[in-house]
Amino acid sequence: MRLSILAVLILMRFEVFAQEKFTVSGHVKDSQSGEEMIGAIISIKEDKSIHAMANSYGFFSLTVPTGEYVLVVKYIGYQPFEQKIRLNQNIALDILLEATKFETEEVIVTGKKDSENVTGTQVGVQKLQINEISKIPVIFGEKDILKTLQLLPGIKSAGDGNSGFYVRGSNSDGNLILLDEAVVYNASHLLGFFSTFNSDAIKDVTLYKNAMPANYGGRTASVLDVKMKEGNNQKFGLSGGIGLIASRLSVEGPMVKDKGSFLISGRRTYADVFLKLSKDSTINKSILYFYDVNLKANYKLGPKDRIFVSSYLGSDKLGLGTTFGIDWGNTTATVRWNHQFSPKLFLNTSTIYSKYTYNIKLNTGTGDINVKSIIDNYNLKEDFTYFYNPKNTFSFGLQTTYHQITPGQISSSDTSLVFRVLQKKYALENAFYASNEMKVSSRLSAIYGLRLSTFSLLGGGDFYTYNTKGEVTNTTTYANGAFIKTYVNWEPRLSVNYSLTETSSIKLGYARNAQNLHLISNSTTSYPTDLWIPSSKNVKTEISNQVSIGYFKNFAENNLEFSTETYYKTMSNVIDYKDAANTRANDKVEGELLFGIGRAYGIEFLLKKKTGKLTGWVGYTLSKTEKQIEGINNNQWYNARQDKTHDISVVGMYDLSKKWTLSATWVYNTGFAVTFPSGKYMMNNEVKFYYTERNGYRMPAYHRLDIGATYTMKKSATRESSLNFSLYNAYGRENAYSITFSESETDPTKTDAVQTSLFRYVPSITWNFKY
Amino acid sequence: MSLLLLGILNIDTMRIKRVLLFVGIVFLSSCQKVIDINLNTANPKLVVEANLESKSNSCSIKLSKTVNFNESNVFPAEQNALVVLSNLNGNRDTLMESMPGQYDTKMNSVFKKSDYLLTIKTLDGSVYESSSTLKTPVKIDTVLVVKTAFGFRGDVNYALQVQFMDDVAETNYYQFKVYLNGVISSTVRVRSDELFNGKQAKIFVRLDNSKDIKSGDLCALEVVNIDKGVYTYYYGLNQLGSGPNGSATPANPKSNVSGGCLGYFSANASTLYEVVIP
Repeated sequence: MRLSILAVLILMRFEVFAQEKFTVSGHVKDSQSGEEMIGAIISIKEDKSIHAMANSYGFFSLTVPTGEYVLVVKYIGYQPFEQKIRLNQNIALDILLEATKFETEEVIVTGKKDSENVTGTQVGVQKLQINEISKIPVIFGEKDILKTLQLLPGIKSAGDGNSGFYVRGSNSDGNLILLDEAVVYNASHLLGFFSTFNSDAIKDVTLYKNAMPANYGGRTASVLDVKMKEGNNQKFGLSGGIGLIASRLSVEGPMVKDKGSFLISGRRTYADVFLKLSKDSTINKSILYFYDVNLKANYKLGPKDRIFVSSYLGSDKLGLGTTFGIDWGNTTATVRWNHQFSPKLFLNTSTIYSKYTYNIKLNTGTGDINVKSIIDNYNLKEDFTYFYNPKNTFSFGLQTTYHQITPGQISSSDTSLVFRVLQKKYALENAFYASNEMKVSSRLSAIYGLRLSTFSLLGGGDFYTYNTKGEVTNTTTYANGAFIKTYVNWEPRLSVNYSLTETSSIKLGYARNAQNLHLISNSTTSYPTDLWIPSSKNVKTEISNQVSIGYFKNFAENNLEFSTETYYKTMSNVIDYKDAANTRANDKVEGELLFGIGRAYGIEFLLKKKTGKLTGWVGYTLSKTEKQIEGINNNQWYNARQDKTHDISVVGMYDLSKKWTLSATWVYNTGFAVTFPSGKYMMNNEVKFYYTERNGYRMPAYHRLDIGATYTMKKSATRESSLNFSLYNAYGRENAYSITFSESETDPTKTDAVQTSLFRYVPSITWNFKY
Repeated sequence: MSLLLLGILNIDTMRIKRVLLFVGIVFLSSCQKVIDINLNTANPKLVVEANLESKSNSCSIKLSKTVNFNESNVFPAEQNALVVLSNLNGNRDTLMESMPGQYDTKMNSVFKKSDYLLTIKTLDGSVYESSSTLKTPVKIDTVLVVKTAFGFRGDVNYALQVQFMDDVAETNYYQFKVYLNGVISSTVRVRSDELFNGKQAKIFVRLDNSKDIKSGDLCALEVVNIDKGVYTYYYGLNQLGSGPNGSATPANPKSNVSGGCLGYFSANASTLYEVVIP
């Protein structure tokens, strides 16, 4: 804290010397809803090199010499805004942007004719707006930002029935998933068929594949920053959708007009209604649903202060008959306070609570058994932005997080049962960061920053040290709050953009990331019950270093975007498991782990068409991901499970008429690396399989076509009503979900490979409305 | 309790896997089919199944070899090997090959709490060695037949609850073998005494194929006191047995026989208890 106050004071002094210049600052908003426009570009017509971008709260600040200017503000899907300003004093100005007129709007993505992808300094970033994805066909008609992101290069799906994703070869636990700054530990519903993000409540999604700004940290692979809508502060609105297995409803409106607004958005699936149709008593008594609720409210305390409260609550319930039930869910709450010290200095203070729980209930006939697991964290953040001049924007701040992990505690109504007691784990994570976005010259710009992070494992309880065999050699008991082990890491971040021409640029990125919470899952599929463990004396900070270089080129007046990026990433203290490791309900789980190094490299291509009747993109990734861990695969490099050599996605949307829009996506990727047997043998009168190498085989290639059509029944400025039809896996490809080996049914002396596939031809229809 | 705990430990994987398939079935879209996979061939490897039994004072060893995946389930016997069993008391016995790949010996007596060494020399000159400790058999106090509703569909299942006193002086590992009307169940059940060291153990052992069990059936439970190496082998065999989407990344279970082979050498100190299904 003291450090950042000092930094503020130093920066304040700079301001004193810049007296011949004045600042225009304010918020950019939608004229209809009052919703803040994150990332709107504010520039000066007279000097194109001077521009600023609205921050996450729609706030911008531009400092220029005294004079008369025309201020130009642009945003995707909105009419450009121009206003004359005379700058002989600091001006506060709120800018209202008009959405592009519906009659002229062919596709919502129109209007983006700027060259942001070429000129933007940030490297390895993918942005999606909810409007952009609304026509892409998805399973069960639920538009889903996580599934759509996986159609972009460098971001790979973890497969059917799994909402995990892999970014540039890293594990899925390396993705930092934030919903209004709160960490979401499990971003999936219904065992991965849906993501936790209800697109009705989401405004904007940004995914950083490299060189993440220094205010983010704690994971090695990527940052997925999801921002919720603020709610309309002009008038009340109702929107929603009714689909075959899920329905959504959102209400938004002003609390006090122009002062504050709220949004409540809910969603529930009712797949279990179909279960009732079954004659099987186990199935028709089963439960299978999820719900989630997003809440957000904001209030303007004064011209310089604004408060935001946002919350997410989601839960999945699954029960089989009366014998077995599992439920899990995330809860997050964020309170933020924006304060403007001056037109140039902006502070956001956030207090955040995030929780992930799962419960397993088991009825054994003689009693109930419960397994309960919780991750809680409490987080405080101070983020300053100092708009020093049009060439330099400083960001700096600090964060502190207290983690509490309650791993699978088992209890039972049957007192005669004895269970292993797993102790709670506590940890304290702190970070300081400073970063500057700098326009070095008209061609060269850079964002450079440094993050200093610390992670301390705290007592109390018993902590073990292990020998190389994974056996406990020593047990130490620590008091509550005692510091057991602290890791300190410097994490430099760099993005550089060099413009070659008006429509082409080269970008260079570097990032070092440290991760101190590790997901332990010794299975090939991820489950809601996978366990998070903190770094300790035995488990060290996972570190990744990534360099990337990219070439960006726009054609046809920025209507066609082409980009290619190549990356190389090294990873250390990568975790894998001993053969037959017991990672469930094991308080000595650290003894079951092995540590090593990893490397990932690849090249990504993206060609995107943004306007016209036909829009969409083609993406291709060629990549490699390997690990080397002592004790696995004879200490040789082996393919990580997520190593998929080729990954192609094609997304197309076509406006047939004002009423009809057609869409299609096609994906193809190399199968996961898996371990299959190379032989078999007889053991205790049963056939067993003999394995010769880790992940030496591949699942069959995965490919799938989804098609969709949207029929707009009514569309006006205030009302909207449309029907969405989609067909998932339109040519019925039997993609392998799993491959198992068993005795052949036709010839018991032989062994068969049996492939299980999910989801062929899943049709859906959804009615979406907005009033 | 064994049943319950094993249930808890594996619940996350086994059951959720089934649930996932079940979700697929609900949406009427999951399907299974036999596919062709081109699997690599591997050089044949020796497979050792060696059991020294305290109850019969005998040692029986089966030596076979692995075959390639696409071949028939005909596993060649390893014949004419030199198989020697010895202990620290200087006893030494060369086992005779009674059938191809089957080596046996009958001993006058076995020594409790003794380390037995097994040496196998195959015709190609390779040498494999192992040792296993013969522990003291437990004294079973009682075995009860219990009906539970633990099944996936809430069906009635039979389990045995065995009660015995665990020896406080050492870490014990137990294997439970179940015989129904004289036929041994192929399910491997092992357990360490971590949660009941030195206490009266009450272990649930679930019976396979509960549907086929009738009143009057004869059920036998054999509690085998095994050593850590054998426990580790069987634990791994259980965890790693279920293919690429099983509970763990597939690998070969860690053998307690050195020299680069598959399998185990187990000195079994066992006690048998018989009950009739009521």
